[in-house]
Amino acid sequence: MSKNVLEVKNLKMYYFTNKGVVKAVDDLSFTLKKGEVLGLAGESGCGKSSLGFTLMGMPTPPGKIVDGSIKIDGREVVGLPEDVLRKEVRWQKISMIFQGAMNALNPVYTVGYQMIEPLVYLKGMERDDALDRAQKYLELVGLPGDIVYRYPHELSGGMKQRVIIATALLLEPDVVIADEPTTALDVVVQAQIINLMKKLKKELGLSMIFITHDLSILAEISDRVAIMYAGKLVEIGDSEKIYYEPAHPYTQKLLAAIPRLHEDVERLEFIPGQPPNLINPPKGCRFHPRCPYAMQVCKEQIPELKEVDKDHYAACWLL
Amino acid sequence: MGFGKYLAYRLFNAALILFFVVLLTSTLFVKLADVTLQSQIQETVQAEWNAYAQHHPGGHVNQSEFIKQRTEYWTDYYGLNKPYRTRVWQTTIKTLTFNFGQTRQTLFGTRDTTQIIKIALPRTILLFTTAQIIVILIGILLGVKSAQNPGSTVDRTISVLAMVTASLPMWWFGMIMILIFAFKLGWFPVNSFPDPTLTGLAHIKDVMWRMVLPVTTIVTVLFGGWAWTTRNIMIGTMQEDFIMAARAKGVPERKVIYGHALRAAAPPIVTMTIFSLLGSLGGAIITEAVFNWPGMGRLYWIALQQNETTLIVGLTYIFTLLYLTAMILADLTYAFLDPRVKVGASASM
Amino acid sequence: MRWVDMKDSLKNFWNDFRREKSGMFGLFLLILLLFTALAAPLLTSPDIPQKWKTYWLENPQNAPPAWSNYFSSTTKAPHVIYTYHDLHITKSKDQFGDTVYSFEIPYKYNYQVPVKDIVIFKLASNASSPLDAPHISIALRRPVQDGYSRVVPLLDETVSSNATIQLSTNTQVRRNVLNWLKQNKVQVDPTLEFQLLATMDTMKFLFSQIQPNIQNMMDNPKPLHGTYTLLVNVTAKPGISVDFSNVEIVFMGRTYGIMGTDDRGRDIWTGLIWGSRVSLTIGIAVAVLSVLIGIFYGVTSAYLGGWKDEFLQRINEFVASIPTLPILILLGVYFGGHIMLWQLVLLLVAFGWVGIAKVARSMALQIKEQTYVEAARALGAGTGRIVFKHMVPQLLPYAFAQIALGVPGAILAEASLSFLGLGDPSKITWGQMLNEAQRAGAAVNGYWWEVIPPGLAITLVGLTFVLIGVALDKVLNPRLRRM
Repeated sequence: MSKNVLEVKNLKMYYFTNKGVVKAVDDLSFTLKKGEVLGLAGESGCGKSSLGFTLMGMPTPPGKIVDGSIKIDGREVVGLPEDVLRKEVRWQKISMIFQGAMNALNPVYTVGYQMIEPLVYLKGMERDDALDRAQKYLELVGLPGDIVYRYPHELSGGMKQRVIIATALLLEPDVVIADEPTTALDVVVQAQIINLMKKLKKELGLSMIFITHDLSILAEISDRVAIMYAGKLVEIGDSEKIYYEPAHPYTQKLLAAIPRLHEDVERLEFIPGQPPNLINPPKGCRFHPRCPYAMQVCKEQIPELKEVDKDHYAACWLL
Repeated sequence: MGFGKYLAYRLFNAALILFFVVLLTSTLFVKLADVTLQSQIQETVQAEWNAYAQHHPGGHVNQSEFIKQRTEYWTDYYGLNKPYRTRVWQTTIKTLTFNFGQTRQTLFGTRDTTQIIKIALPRTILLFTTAQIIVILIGILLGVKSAQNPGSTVDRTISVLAMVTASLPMWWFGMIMILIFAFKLGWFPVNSFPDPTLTGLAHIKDVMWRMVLPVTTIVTVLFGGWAWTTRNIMIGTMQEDFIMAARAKGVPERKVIYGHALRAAAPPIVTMTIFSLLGSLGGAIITEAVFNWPGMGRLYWIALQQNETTLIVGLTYIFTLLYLTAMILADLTYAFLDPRVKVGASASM
Repeated sequence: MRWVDMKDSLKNFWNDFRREKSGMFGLFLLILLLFTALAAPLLTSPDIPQKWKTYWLENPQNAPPAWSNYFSSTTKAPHVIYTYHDLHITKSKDQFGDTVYSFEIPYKYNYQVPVKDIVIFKLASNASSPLDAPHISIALRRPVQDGYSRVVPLLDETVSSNATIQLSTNTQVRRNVLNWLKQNKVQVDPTLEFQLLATMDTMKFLFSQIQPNIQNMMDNPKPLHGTYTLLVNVTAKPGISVDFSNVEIVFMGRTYGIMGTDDRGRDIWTGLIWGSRVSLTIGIAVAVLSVLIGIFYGVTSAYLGGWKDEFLQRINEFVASIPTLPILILLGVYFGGHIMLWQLVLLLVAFGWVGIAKVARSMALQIKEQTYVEAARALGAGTGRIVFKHMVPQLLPYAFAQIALGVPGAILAEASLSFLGLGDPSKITWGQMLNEAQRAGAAVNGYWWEVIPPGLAITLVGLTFVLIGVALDKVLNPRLRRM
């Protein structure tokens, strides 16, 4: 059994807004093994992107890590000073693939300049050596090396996404967080990017957390899947298990909402209601107001993650 | 629209405006000149007759005949017998080619309007550029500082300062500066006119010494607005994804702010500020007059006090020219700073 | 919009606005300013605009405000005017049957520097020939100074009707004062005496302690504090009557009123109050007109689209690139060196609408895409109707904020032109007050009271509208809040 590269325990990250405290990540625990892809799914606003940035040690202001532990390759990073985080952890131990269709590339700098920044600032490499290395990685993601001299607006959405993937891999980090890397790309490009990431996973043995709201993509790439709801983990387990034997009602509903090619579905289901307000989440199980099986206990006590099967956990009073 | 085409369009537009402004000034000027020239001719002819009568006592030339003849001569000389349209056109052409004519009184040692403006213009540019560079430096520094901590003391102070300085006349602030630092404390000279007896290094020192008050005035009134503009644009930029990405990549915070954020915010900052600079140019020109700084503003003041029409026409023309140049410069700078525009140009060519 | 909705949204708006502290402060200032502008004739007097163009002879020139004494070690006597009602005139007959009018004016003096002059204005009589003219005798009774006589005779002469009697520069007064000093054993050098007759600052001697040597009194005067009394007798021959009803006895102050005076003796405080009228009129008129025009222009341009939009935008760009101030100066010269108020309003509007038109257009382009505009067009609404009924109302919140924010610019433009001497001569404006201060060299001579208040007033009005504008912007345009 391979070792854990990432161990998250009881992690809490709250946004301290002037309207109140938003519990975006609330008491989360999970692990990531070496060479494994963990898919992280949930509706928008459930805290999955917040989790991504928290793992990078840079929760978006006014967010703060309140409690818990994040161990990357055995090293505790919560509580490390910003300077150490920047110089020793970020991008070297854990990097991030941003959503490329958005503004993750600065429009006024060349692609090369932005790619080699971590090499120059963190590794102290010379500009030319760094550019060589950047070109190598660009070729790895299927782009011509001379793209380093281009500006972001000269690239297509798919090309930008590849640049961002290459940038994330440059320092060969232990963990890569992919934050909705395929959202806002058109379907054909989406498939290309997924294939690229599958290839990279195989060739480089990437350990990755793949964040998306699109469960059908996760089925393609992830070994394990975690489902988040309202800042909490509701189910985690091997992909097969999650897809074929979902234990949590929320996961079941979520899966029922995906259109499937191979099965006849009378009509797509949807989950009634809306995700709760995280300033004042419902008491007990946070899903109970939308849950068709809600019982009295659901309204009063928070369910813990329970092992339903080998390596398959879910947090529900039904189990 | 490609950038080359766009620039060509802007140049054409500027030329058109320049022509229009000159046409307007000429139309007004010729009308004004009519009145002054008529009375000037009357005086001249009367003086000529007096001189003639003195030298030829008992001469056989009839007075009214003489006057009529000479009046015709001068009318023809000044072109007053030509149709109004022709004269407007001629004045327009003359003005466009920097041929403004003579002033009535000697200024800066000459009566040639073009020459006078040639002497004054570099002084205005010296004063205004010096002040502007300081404003840009302070403004950007403070703007970035307050964008980093919105709601902080620095930020609040700047917003209040921007509001107050937006509503006070720069030239009035100059008068206050004179009151305090020249009259009350006596630290600086009241008069910014450089000492003409000094040369070389002493002259440069003298000029710099005399520039302190006017420059301080311009800087104090303008930097708040700059800082405020910079702040607002920077706050927008700091929320962009690429800032987050740069931080994640381990780029040092200083480089994130002064490299990524400021560099990305530069194009709008530059254009906005060039336009606000143009807006403040009028105030700065009047400020010159207050300090007696011998530049364009001082000329405006003299021209208005002494009704030097040719000088006003010349000043208007040069001012418009400068204004339009600065506008085109703003466009060029934008294109230079924003690669998206630059490539658009090369792609279309 | 129905009235009930309107009332509701107004109420909501007011609730939001009330929370903006700076906006409320701006509103308070605005009310204060409007009150000042409207009540100007009551606060001062209605004839000020005519009087403003003249020299105010009854006032001292370039006198600082009276309260400046609090901040100065050398306190200066303020300006005091006595009119008919302050004089208790007694009428009696002397042995020749002439009528004698006499009155006394008590004057308390406790300053370092005495008044500049004592002047009697508008003493009228019905005498037709100089022989009949009434006779005036004036003396000053000083406070007790041990060993010296108290009463100084000043003047004894006939006065023609409505003459102005200035005591300070009068040769007879000077001679009388010198004689009185000599009687009190003050040493006066004969050559100095001759000089003093021509140049003496009479009041300085009258209001200071007697010292044995006149040179000391000149170089190092010690003020004699206490109550002085001006004694005046006017003798008129039988049949001649003297009219005191308009008489003014003025102690020409070294300080004056709330804000002092300028080089023409005009009361600056009065000018400040009247100046608010022009400033507010210009500011509000220009801002309202240019915003309305700008909005209609922008919205129409966006609505029309296509080449018409393109054409309108080119015009907009054209106007935007004309430098305003030089053109205004040029026109000012063309109009004979002055731009009338209404001309200035029109000109500032002509240059002022462009920026707003640009923003209004881009906002209108977004509105145009909304379905209800489509629907209105599908229902057959005309261009005008769609523009006015559906698009303009949506831009009104933006317009209100812009109107407030546009005021300072217009006020500054007027002030700048006035400062250059191109202002409307029939109006009292702060810019013109500063122009006159500049021409009189007020700043370099340290006449701060002529420089600071008008500029401060301009700034205050500008700030008032900026505060309101920023608050309105926050309340009415929540989308822009994050900008």
